[in-house]
Amino acid sequence: MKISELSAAKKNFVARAVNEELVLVPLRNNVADMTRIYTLNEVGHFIWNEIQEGATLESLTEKIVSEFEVESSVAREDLEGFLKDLSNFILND
Amino acid sequence: MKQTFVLTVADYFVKISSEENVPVFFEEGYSNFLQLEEVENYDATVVCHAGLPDKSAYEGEVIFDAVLDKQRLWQVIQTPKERAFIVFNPNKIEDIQQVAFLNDASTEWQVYSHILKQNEDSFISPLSYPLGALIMYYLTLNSNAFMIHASGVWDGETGRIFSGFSGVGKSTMAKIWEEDGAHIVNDDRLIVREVNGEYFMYNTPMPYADLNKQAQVSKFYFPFHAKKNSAEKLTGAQALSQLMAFCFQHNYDKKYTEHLITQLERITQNASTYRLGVVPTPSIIDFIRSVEFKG
Repeated sequence: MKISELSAAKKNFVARAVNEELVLVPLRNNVADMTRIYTLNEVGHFIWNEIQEGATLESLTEKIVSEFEVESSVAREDLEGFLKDLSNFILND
Repeated sequence: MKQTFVLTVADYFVKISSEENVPVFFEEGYSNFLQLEEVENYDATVVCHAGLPDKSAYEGEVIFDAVLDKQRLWQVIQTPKERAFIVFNPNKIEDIQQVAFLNDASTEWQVYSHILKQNEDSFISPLSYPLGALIMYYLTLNSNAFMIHASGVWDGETGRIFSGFSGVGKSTMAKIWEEDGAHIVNDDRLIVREVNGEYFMYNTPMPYADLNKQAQVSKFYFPFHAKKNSAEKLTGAQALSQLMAFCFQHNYDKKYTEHLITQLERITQNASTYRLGVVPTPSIIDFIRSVEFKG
């Protein structure tokens, strides 16, 4: 999924910050699987908030580096992994 | 024939009335949840009608579909005026059992029931499963409450809830506690309400007759089968999401989801939650009490 698609998909979730973590509950039109509730850690929470229209891999990486003082290459690799996981659960929802 | 009943569940009062010429029948499980004396204020009203409405009355967009194991149990349709609940007969799924209309505030139900016959007698059963449970679920949306798949026990000092999928040991846990002298509030479905900063669990009408029960609750457990007893305390997002996984929830409307999350956020700040590895023997009772003592 592209970042713009992830940004558009955010409206299909209710997100609630609990301390530094984030609980994501998908809005749905059936009762098939009530247990698909997701929690994001502090970094995931930060990225979720920054996924907006116009965001790119480069801009997100820069923000992560700035916020968490991590090497750019590490941030980029982790970001790509996170976005892949996020895409999977949004697509599978 | 004017008929009026008052349903009392979880300290909610629901007025059930009918002016139809057929009697209103309630399943056995409602026997201790009904009273004839009216009260001043009702949390919801149910007006019963005999016979199903024309299909044109509930044409609209299907906004929620309850399909489990490829079987459609009920669905919610948004009509131009209100929400319609189409409830299918669990024993003959192609037949509609009830069509119910609910206002935007989720307080006023108009329930149209299929007319049932036994010998020469006709009657209607407006709260036949699952509509009765749906009405109770919608009651929780207007107060600090939620409905959960769980067993609940009260040992005279502490109320505990055990929640999880079928087969994790909810009923077994309740039975072990009962054999130790505790009271079972229910072993399948509970309503939890916040009252003046404290939490109470209540049973709801089941297919069998039971007393109308309530008890304070302060501990939540998520049991799983294990080779030895173990406990892991959950906090924050983990506690909230674990609890939410087993709550009744109609997440077609964002405000219902927000409401449930708010309830669970509050209770996880005030009650203890644990993931619990269980060997299903009486030793689990002392184990749980020692975990709670240590905090």
